Amino acid sequence: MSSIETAPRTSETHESEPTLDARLDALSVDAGRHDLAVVAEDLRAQRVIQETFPPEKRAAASMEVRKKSKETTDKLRKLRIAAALATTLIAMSPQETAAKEQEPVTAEMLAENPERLEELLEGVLISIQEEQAKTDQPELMPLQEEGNSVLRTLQDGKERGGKYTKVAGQVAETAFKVLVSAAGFGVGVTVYDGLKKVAETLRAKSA
Amino acid sequence: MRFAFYARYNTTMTADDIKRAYDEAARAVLLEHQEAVARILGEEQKKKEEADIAAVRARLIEHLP
Repeated sequence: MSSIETAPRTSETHESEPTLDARLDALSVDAGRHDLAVVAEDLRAQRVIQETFPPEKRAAASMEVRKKSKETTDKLRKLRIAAALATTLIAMSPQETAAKEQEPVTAEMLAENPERLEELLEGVLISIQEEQAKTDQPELMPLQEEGNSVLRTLQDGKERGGKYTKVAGQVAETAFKVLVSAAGFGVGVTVYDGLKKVAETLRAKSA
Repeated sequence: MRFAFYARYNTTMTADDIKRAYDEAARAVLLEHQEAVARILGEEQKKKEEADIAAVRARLIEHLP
């Protein structure tokens, strides 16, 4: 498996600075490549198992590889959600919007892509859980409750229709407020620090 | 709260920084995955390679004058 290099994408609407949408799209494209790399590695490993392992050991080895592939896919999904969340929260900073002449992040813009909105909320909740696990921070509780509630509303809507239904204005507004609060609490920075820590920890482990 | 309002007023962290951190983290996870899979395959794959080499060597020795 070769390491994955990602060429920076440019926005179609802004020549100098990609929009938030373009940045989040680029993260999804990268994530697709990463998932494919895991699938390719899994297929290669399964072939090696069939060709080299004694028959009595094949099933166990195959299962172990599948388990590891699933673990890696889950880790990569969390990383993508974290990156999308940090990118969105930093885009919500007034300085970023003013300095880069980007369009401000709005509830309507987030409502246009319910799947993305659901993942961002999921990211907020994961971050809060991780922070709470380290130290008890009661000030995060209302944000967690509101995030959970709006996430459930989004997911209920999806389950009833079998796919994502259009996000109602009020739901989008609440989700937007959750994200603004998360930005205010500095979740973007902690998520960014978390991303950096993953690379550092794994590098140290394999060195 | 420790990080209160930091993100909103933090001008040092950019979207490009986040992208770089994401790329590095994902690359590290993929590398770790590769190493884990190699460990699972390791012993048996090594045995098979050694057996293959031994078989080739035996055939070569057979054909030596």
